[in-house]
Amino acid sequence: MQKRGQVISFDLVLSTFIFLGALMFILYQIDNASFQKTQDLSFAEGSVINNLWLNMKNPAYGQTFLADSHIDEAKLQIFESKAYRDAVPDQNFFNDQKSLVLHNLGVAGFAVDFCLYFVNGSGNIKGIGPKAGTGQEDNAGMEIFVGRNDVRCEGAIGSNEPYEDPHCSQYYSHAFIDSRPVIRNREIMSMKILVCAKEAG
Amino acid sequence: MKNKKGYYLVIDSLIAIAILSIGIFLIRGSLANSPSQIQGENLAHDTLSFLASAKVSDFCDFELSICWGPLTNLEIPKNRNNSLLGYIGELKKNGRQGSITDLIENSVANSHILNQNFNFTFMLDGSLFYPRGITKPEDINGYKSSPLVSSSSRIIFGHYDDQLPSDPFIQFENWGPYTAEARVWAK
Repeated sequence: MQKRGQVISFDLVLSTFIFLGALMFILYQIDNASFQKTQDLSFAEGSVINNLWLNMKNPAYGQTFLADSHIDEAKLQIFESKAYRDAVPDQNFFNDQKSLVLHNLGVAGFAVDFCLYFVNGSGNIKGIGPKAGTGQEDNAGMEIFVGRNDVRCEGAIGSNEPYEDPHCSQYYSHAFIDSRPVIRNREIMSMKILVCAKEAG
Repeated sequence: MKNKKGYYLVIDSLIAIAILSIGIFLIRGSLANSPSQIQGENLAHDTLSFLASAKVSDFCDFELSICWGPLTNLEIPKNRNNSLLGYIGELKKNGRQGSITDLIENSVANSHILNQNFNFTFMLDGSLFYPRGITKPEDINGYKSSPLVSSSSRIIFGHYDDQLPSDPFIQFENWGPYTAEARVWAK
């Protein structure tokens, strides 16, 4: 009888160890995968943001609306008016400026979309013309929202939309945001880019 | 009696597993929400670059002798071609320490340009000018325990023309070199 009790206890201890071992193994695998993903995403974040600022400042891309922290309003409007990817490719490659600026921002393994917008010193979104922002929403169902009323990135906005944290639609699995201080219309603003990403495949 | 002991062991192991799992998930959760190194580095560098590239003429009408935005209620810059960072050097030369803090507060801290995950300090020649009323970054809550600190520095120097009311001649005044440093750390 005593022997049976010892067997049960030993069995319990052994099963607990096996259970814990399995649990730790699973958690380690999840953690490892998550770490890898974080590294990938961190790399993606660095690449996207640095490429974006470099591309924007590169005069080879034509209408560069950002120079020495100053926003050229006329050139920004032209940039906004460009389609990211025209149905009919432009014969003059360099006319497709938006595509060029946002070109190469995508990182292998990620489907990435962007929303570029401005927030003034009072914390309100300052639209680009009538629109909240400008960017790339390349895939159906992929939407980026800014402002109080879930305005789409390229949707119509009032003159002073109170700012709230922008967000990506449920389609995406990752989001990160970067900002630069700029001067637009003689006012200090934060130029923000929200990047929504989803692992491809 | 033997059965009871088994129950205790089972309950004990379940509690241990629960505590272990909660601990692991808490650690993983805190890591996932931490701000990235890239954000910190960019923020420190961008803030200083912005101060160096924004001109005082962006915020002043020198013909009307009025300034707005970050230069509201500050004295009219003597060198009209200065950047905001150059103007900070000019203010330091003239002993206007409080105005430097006002300028940083109006141009950086209150302008929604800082990432909410980070705190910000501005130093000139090792002296802290922002946040107000603190002399060393170490004295700020949370600085020492922050997992991420990034810094960006520039050497600044310049000049301006000055004329005292009693002096008919314009004096050419040099200032600097000073070391300006923007330092950010994760909250």
